[in-house]
Amino acid sequence: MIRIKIVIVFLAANLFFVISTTTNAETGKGNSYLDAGVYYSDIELPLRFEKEQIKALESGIVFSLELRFQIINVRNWRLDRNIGALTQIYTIEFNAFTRRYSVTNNNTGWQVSMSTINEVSGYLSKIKKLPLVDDSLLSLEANYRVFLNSSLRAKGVSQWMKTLSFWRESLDSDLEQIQWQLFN
Amino acid sequence: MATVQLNPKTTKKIIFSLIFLSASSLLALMFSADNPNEINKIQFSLIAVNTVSFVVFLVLVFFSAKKLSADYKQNKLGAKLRLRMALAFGGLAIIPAIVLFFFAINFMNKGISVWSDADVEQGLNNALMLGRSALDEQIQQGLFETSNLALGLTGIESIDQQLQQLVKTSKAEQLVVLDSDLQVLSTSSDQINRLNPRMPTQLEIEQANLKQSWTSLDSNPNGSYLIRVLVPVLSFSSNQKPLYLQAFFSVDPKLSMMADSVEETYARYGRLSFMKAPIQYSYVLTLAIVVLLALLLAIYGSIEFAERLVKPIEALEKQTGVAKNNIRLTEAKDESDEITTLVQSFIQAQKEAAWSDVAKRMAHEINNPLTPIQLSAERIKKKYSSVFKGEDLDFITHSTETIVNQVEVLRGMVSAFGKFAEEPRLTIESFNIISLIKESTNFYSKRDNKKIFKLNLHAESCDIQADEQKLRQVFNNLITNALDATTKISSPKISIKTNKMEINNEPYIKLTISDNGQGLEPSIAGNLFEPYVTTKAKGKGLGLAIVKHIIEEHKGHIELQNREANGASVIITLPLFQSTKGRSNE
Repeated sequence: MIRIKIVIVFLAANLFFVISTTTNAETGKGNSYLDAGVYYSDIELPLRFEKEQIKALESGIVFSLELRFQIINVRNWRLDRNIGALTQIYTIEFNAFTRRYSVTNNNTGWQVSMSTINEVSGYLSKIKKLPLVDDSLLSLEANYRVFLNSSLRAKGVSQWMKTLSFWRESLDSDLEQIQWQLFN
Repeated sequence: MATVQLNPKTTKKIIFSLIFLSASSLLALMFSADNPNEINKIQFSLIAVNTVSFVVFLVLVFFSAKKLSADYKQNKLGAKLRLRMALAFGGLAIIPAIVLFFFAINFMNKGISVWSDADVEQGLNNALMLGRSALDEQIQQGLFETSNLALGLTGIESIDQQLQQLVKTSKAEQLVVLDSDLQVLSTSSDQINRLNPRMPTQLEIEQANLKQSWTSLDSNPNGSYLIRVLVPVLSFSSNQKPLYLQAFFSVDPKLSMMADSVEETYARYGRLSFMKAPIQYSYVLTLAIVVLLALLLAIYGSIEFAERLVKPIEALEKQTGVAKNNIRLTEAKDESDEITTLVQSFIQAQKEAAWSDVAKRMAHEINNPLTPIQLSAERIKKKYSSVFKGEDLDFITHSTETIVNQVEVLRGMVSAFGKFAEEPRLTIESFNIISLIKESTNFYSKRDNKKIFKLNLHAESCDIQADEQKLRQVFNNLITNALDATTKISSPKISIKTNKMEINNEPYIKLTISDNGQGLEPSIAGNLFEPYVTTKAKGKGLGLAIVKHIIEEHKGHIELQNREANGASVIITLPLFQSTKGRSNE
């Protein structure tokens, strides 16, 4: 009887853990739309800076957020075809003198500065009107999906140093993959 | 047990290559950039190279130590000395290295603690505050001026002209009017893109609403700084949306440069502080690997060095035949015993060599004139036997016969010398040693017609690889000696006992030939195996010397001892199998 009780408590605890982690888990999403012959995307990233990453950022370590897009032609009965890939990189750094975070889009060179890390994650979590692919490259009959893999990495810190920082949270994090239909 | 044996030349090449690689990688580390983050770029390859060296040295040391341990367990001559020397040399290297390692770690940690000292951090923070304070006045001036400019705006119509006019009369670099949705309505400069990244954020707009102003200091990628001021435009709006005026003021280039320098230093310090622990671990790990490598090298070197030092002793041992023949030496208790035994053995070997040399010379020098003497004596007898008669003839006959007989005695002696001097050439074959013992005892039993032999043989047959003829000679000599020793005893008894035994996992047979004779004279007991040492009136003193020679050639051992009751025992230990390795005379 006691054993059954233990098993029930164990299962309940697991269920609670699964539910709690599931409800807390942030998921991203994305959608694309056609504008003047170009497909643009609005993306919501489940980006969150961990404590150790914020500490590192405030200590002068530069971070980069890399968004790797892949446009895949999903085909029935055949292997999927890779149409194209795009990488968008943002550099995030903290200036101790101005006490502001600056986010630089490496692809365009544009820079914005923000006073809090929440603003930074808010800014980078909602990326609007990102040009993805030219309409002329696509076929209307085909089925295209966009896959987005994102990662946040500490720049200038070698893998060796990261390995030796084993006792603390990782400075690098990979975001959950997001995928969506390019068009219906 | 299978052992891995590397070619010494190959081992040497591997060791030197590894030392070279490790030294090169460490030099690379030494001459690399001062920045720990830069060093860490090569750290992985450095660690990899040194780890490989470490593993290889560990294997080498393991096998060297295993060999030394096996030699020690087998009580091989010189193993104890080698072990002690290896421990002494290794200890001499290990202790200072460990002490040095801990001191180096301590100093390194202190050094790292110095640059991450709290005072340094406080100083840098103060420098940042000082820099910001220096700019505060400019920021306040900018705010004052922007507020006045906002008050000066009269309406949304002709806003572009108003801004262009205002920017000319103020210190502002650029003026922008935007609404609460961050839409830019007008700018004072055409050069500024309407999607200027220096646009305020929603939060800043909210702050400007709340506090009636918002100021910030922004950095540019080129290291310069600019002051950004955001104030609400209160006099008019656009489509019911509140409007804001954002003004940019550039910071004095000199101040900008200094601020940038302070910020750069602060960031560098921050990075180092943040990575302090992993940098420390990295240095400790590198140092540990270097020290471990040095230690392994020292241990390996000390084992090799000890082996090289002991090698001449081993060579001496092989020359004198101590290890292979004197099995009792395996019971040596310490290295001083080993050295003493070696010295004694060396003296013994020199004695034997000297005797052998004398025997050779004597055999040669005596043998040559014997034939002419014998022939001359026979001629004298022949010539004068017809000339003399009576007493004279008897005298001549007696004298010449005496000469001939003594020449025969001398010839026998010369032959014995020759046999002693010559290196016994063994013809190894497998035969039953028990049968040989029985055969020898039967021969003497029949000859003396007495039941004096008592055999206590462990088996009916025991095959041995040896020279049957030589061993027969050994048994005949020993049985003759035993019979000679018991001539004065009323009921002589000679017992022969055999046992099988193992020494260092090798099968041996132990033969004990005991008699109840007068025993060994203590004064010469220790020298009975030397030539010309005998207690017999007519003995040449070569029998036991030859016996010992033969037994030792069979890699066996012989010793004499008095029995507790009366009489003496000869104990022979012989290996059942002869390895061909190291046999020079086969």
